[in-house]
Amino acid sequence: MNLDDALPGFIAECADLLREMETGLLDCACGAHDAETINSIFRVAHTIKGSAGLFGLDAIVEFVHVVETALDAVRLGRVSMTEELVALLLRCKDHIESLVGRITGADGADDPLLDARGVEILAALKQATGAKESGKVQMGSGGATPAASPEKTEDWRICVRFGPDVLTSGMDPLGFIRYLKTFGEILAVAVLEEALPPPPDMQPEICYLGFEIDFRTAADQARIEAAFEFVREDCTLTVSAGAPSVTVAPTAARDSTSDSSPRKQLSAEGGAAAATVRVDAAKLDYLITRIGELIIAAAGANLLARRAGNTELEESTSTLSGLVEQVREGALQLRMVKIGGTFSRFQRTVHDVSRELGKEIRLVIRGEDTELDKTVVERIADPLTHLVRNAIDHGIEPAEVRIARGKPAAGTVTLNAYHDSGSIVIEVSDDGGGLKREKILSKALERGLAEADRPFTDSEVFGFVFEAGFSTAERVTNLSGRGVGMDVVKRNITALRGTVGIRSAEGSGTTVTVRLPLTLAIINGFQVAVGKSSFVLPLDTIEECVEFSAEDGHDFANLRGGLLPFVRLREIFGTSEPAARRQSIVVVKHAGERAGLVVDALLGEFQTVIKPLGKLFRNVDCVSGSSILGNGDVALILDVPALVQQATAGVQRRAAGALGIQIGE
Amino acid sequence: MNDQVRYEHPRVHVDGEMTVYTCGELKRQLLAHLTEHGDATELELSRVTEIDTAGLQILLTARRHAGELGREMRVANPSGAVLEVLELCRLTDLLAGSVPVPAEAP
Repeated sequence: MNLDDALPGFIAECADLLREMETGLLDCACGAHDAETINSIFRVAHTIKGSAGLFGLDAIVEFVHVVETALDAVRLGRVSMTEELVALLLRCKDHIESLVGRITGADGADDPLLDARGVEILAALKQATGAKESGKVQMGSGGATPAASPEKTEDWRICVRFGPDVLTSGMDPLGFIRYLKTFGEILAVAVLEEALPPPPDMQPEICYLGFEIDFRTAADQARIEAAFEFVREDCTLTVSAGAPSVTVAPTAARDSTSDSSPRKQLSAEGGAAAATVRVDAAKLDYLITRIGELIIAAAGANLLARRAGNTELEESTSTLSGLVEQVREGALQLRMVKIGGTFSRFQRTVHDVSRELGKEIRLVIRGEDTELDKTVVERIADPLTHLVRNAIDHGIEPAEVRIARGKPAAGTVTLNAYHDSGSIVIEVSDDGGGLKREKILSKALERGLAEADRPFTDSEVFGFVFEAGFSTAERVTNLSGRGVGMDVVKRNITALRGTVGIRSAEGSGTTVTVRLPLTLAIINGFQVAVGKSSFVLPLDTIEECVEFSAEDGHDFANLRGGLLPFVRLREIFGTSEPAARRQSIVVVKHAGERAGLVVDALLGEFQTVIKPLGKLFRNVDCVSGSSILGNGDVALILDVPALVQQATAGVQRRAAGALGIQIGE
Repeated sequence: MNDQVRYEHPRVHVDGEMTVYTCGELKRQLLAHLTEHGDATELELSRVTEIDTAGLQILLTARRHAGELGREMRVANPSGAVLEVLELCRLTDLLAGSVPVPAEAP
């Protein structure tokens, strides 16, 4: 195996492991320091150290070794997991990340202070775990042998055989024996080594050993069995009471174990390999582009078959299209990841920021199983971080203010995700002070962003927050409040063809809603025509299609007794050809708003490969991309959010205006 | 990692980690040295920094290998890590007589 080739795998693995470690540590910070959590953190450190050793990354090995030792002390109950220790271990985790980053040459990787910082962290860690250790060790070595203990002790015979792959899965059977010592006394140990094959055949990474342990403890059987919980599926364990205190020469079990272990190992390997496969993201992207081309080619073939009027050919191309669609679904599914991974990263942000600000804040996560495209997930993390920080810093009031307002002292920030008509909605809400509408409006007037003499809707007012350099904060902290950021958030989200909106009630909280398309590559489209041009709408945004009926000069239609604002695509795109005799309205929906688009013809469903628009078209409103049709023509993909906004804004403004006049009179 | 095991009459010296991460190469080198040097009867483990179950298995395998070659192999000068494991597993009989065996707690 060429190690250089495997290095990216190691780095990716480390990233996953470190995330796991962080989650574990944060769970500890929330008070969940059960053995399971601490064991999982310990295992992460252990695995990273081992893998780093394989690659000869000594700096990482040395650092992680100390961390591992500290964690081991926690696991064995010599040191307790205090809040300070959690914070320290989080710093360790960050440092490991930097060390790993140094291999890849990531940003800030060549920080000359890195090593110095490592030394400093380790010193702190040694002090934190060592100091308490000495205190407790005394007790352990002197008084712990529970001779003077009033508790009733009992003798047990523990017979444990470890599975062949416990070693490769990063566990050390000896550790379990050591762990037993934390709540009892080991009277005798016999190493069952008869399963060891003859030296030439012995495979060093396979565990052949078993142990018979005579154990005296006040704990019950469940507690003893729980000590092996960690390898429960990977060992055979019998715990029986009343062990004789003489070591028994083990000979009996030989045949059964030496026979079965190689076979067991084979099946275990097969099972593990099937679970997940790591695939290079670039390969996946390549696959998606190819499938995009395939869809276009298939559409072309379809068109030709229909034109040729050959029924058999039409039939076979339609089967082909069906298959292509399934392949497309499958390929896109490959790129779908759960948003939970991104969300749980914010546990850390909330932990750190609330410590820094001295606010007590709880993060509630909902909808973590909601899936979206990997590329979207990657690019949404930064804007979300900003929103979460904002919520903590500006949203949640200081504890005393909260109590005065009759709210619980601890603030709550909620992250929520769900699917809604072809997009994913991510909400960042807080139960804080809410936005001050009047203050924002006066600031907007002051800066000339708003015209003084017209009424504004709430969403318009809150929209000013996204203007560059806009801030109403009286106090600038080092987290936020400088008025940079929200505009960047908006720009990032718009770049993903997404939208962002704010709902807020003064005194009770703010919710920022981010809507993003599920995927950036291929969508199910609906093709419409205006004059000679074709346009594509994302199928998921369409509610229904109805016949166009409106009196001239009105921008809204009567849809089953309701008011439906609409826009004429003909006007928006300046089409000069005469309108068709029978026009249609396509009813689309976005963010709870409904609007109609007036088109000349409905052409039907169409699998749409989204191609980005050239730079020239970047500032064109109402168009979000382009696509190539089967006959080679280009169709523009309509930006439904923008169109809906345009349609509803007209009606709302008129309504608001009418209201304004009435009040004025 | 290449020179983790070396021979110096009458001992085979092992340095560094005796763990699951090193055990593959370690086993190969150790058995090769024991086969090659007929007079080696002791393992010098004073510079072993860490030993886990995999390392212990190597020790047991080495002992068995030596036994098959007609020799009795013992551990000389165990490092703290090695001693801890041998005591934990009550395998102090692996130790050479020159090393005082601490009495076990009753």
